[in-house]
Amino acid sequence: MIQKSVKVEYITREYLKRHRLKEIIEELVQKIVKGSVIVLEEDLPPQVQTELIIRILNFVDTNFFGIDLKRLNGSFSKRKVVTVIYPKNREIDLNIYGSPERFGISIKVP
Amino acid sequence: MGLLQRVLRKTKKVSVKIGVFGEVGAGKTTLVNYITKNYIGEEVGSVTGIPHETRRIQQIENVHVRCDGKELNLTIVDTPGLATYIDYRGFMEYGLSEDEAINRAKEATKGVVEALKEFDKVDVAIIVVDSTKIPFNQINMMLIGNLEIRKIPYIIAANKIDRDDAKPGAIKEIFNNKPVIPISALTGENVEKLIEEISKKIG
Repeated sequence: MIQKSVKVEYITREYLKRHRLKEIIEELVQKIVKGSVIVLEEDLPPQVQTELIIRILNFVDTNFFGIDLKRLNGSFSKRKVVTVIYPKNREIDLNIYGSPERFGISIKVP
Repeated sequence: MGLLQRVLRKTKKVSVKIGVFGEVGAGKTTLVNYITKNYIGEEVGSVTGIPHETRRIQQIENVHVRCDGKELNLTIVDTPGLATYIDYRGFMEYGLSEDEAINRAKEATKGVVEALKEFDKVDVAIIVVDSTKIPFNQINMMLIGNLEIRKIPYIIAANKIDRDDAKPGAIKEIFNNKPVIPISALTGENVEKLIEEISKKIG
């Protein structure tokens, strides 16, 4: 399967606050498995990340290898973060740069 | 204080379940092998250059260690390497056929899930990181976050200090306020110190 475009979906802090974690995980799984790149305006709590990875790994096959997570700032002390979660497959090579206030994402799709 | 705790305190025998966690290739099984070979005279897991060699949780019971005036009865849990993705094609670079690689990827995926469910079951954790790399990534942050939320004491073992390209100082800097001990699971350097620190963590 060759993807010719990649959908990037932005999930705001407010959206994350309004929904239950279980619903968020379910939504993220559905979107990622379909190939979307998810940009979260916040970091997911560690237990949620763990649950998300466990759920996602159920879908691993020869075309879909799982996910990669990238966090914009690399420090434990900084509160503002942007997390990008994207499907790890044959097509996507993704990088995020800048700061949580002003950032860019480069996606290479061969 | 309960009866069990009183008895344990009196005899200074403490049973502890130690989880050994970390990314793929960090040297978890090498560390567990070094400890078990030293204390019970046998190695428990095979170590090869192929990623995801440990694909099932291995539990080694009754590893008796005398340390810091205490007698520890350790149960050591060697977990499969943590990963957020598993690309079967990577295994083919090590000479596996496509079918073998796909099969290994399936087993490795199950192993990662098992490892992720193991956080709740341990008393203390050793997070093994490869000190020749920059281990400040989402996997290790998630690992630390999970342990801290569960209030499980942990030690970061900055492994592979026997290698010329190891940067244990950089690891200490990256995990600045976290407990880091540089070790070599291959030569055993500082492994005793690691056990001593575990002993301190369990009071």
